[in-house]
Amino acid sequence: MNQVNSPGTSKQVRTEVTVGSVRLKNPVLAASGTFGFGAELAPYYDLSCLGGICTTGLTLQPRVGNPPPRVAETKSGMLNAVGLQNPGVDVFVTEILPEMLTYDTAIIVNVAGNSKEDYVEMVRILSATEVTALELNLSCPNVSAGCMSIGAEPEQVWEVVASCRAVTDKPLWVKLTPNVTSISAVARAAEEAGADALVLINTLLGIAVDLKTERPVLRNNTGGLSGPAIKPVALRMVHEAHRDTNLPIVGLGGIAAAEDALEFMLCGASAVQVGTASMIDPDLIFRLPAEMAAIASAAGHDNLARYTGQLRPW
Amino acid sequence: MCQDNKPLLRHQGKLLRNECLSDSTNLLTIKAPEPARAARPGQFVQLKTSHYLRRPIGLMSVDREQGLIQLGIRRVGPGSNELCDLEPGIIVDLVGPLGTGFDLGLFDEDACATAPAHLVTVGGGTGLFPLIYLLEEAAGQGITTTAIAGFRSQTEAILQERMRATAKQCIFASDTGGLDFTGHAGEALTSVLDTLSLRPEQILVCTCGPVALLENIALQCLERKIQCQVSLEARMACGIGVCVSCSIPVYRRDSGTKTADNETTYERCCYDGPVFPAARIVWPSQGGIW
Repeated sequence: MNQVNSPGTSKQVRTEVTVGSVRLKNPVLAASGTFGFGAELAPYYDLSCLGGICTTGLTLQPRVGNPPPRVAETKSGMLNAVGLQNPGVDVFVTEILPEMLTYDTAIIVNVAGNSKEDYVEMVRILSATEVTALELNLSCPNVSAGCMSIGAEPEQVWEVVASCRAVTDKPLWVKLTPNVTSISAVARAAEEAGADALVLINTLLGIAVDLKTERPVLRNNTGGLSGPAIKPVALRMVHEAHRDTNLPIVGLGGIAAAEDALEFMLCGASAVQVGTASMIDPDLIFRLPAEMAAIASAAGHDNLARYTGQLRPW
Repeated sequence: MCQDNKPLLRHQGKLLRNECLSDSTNLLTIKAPEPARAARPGQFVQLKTSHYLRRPIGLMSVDREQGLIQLGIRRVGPGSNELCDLEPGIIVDLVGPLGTGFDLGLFDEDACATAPAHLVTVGGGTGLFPLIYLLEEAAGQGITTTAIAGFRSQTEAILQERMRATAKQCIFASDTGGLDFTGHAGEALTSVLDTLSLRPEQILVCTCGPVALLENIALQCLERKIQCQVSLEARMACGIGVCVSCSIPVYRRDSGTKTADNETTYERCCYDGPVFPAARIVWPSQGGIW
């Protein structure tokens, strides 16, 4: 499965990549919050075809999430304000994770907290499990405490990541928010605190307005913008973080085709996540590894890893 | 690839017919054999348009032998307008069938062993679409049916012939008169339930339409201890249960029907629903946020 015979060519393309110490059979992961825990899609797809699955964001206690409406369509994407509805880390570990571990793919657990203590406690709990890596969510824009309010401040990013680093040997990926002036400043803070990889970007904060009611569409007023609209911003931030840190990067933001995924790799990503596009085309993420390989093959390459960081700025 | 021996979720269907039912509603007939085979009453499909998100449309009828699905669509915005304007022959990109539909299995219980089961459907406006599929299914199972359909006016009353051909008894209602019953669909239900000489457990009420109507129906049934299932709508993104955007306020499964915040939660309209037992819903009058 780590090699794909590209359509129309006999050339073998190795799809395997590494993100720090984590080996992935291909660079395509399902993004947190857009794939649940995999159970809804397992009846239709072989989840072992994925490079990995990033779980829905988990919190220490169960969360009911935000009142509706939680979603608003935009011209080239969508706003969401789900507010981290999830069953809590304990239910995840006892009732959900055992099934996920049978999927034969990397399981990356997205960890969201109200406070530093929440993150540390969850990391401690999850470190005793067989999950592949932990993705510290310092970037959800739809909750009042923690997450983005931590991720926007380099000092707080350092504090949370260093505290989690102290209690785990699991690979620590840090998912950053684009709602900052300098992505490099927060990226460097995560690196200095001991992160193993960066994941960027989470959603861009936005508002959708209902002209008839003269209210925001979302009950939360603001929400996170995702979809093709944010891809150029995400590519720029992946490029900057790659330039200004030595950490491997998992890139996401508006990926809807194999070409998009390879563009992220050129900008510095070792792997990519697909999120909102799965809502439009649930098949897409399962096609991407082979389609990326086909493009690589046509360009005369025998592996996908070679794309990482090969962008040649003017 | 990656789908060996698994059913497809995404399909390409050919639009065979596009009929105008009224100024604001169309009926699409699509050749889509696999979804037609897999579908259950109350389920829906997600249709691709030129807009970013897919549009969830309830199944109005299915012909398994011919491999056809029928979708009733009301013009409520640019996406549904586009679907109503599709030309026959075009290939439609659809995901589904999706969601948890109506459960006629309730009739299998002992309560109905000694007397015929009776299904009452109550549809408000285009809410009657998914109920047609349910009525057709129930007729096939030998269940006695009464169909109530409420409309704002006589001119908006659609699919009368089809309803009358499907349900044993059919009541078209409108506040403005000119149909079988003058008043809204909830009042028509009251009148039907008052005259049915059956025990509550031999009746199932299934309803779809505006939330105010559904709440009216649900509370009537709750009071009479009659089983009631409601088909709901919510702003939806994925349609497959993974994004948790289309939340419906519900009482927790392990609680009664108290209204304290800590005993309510949200479930997914697209996956846990769109059909829910009415008693689980936190209606607007009970503090539910919609």
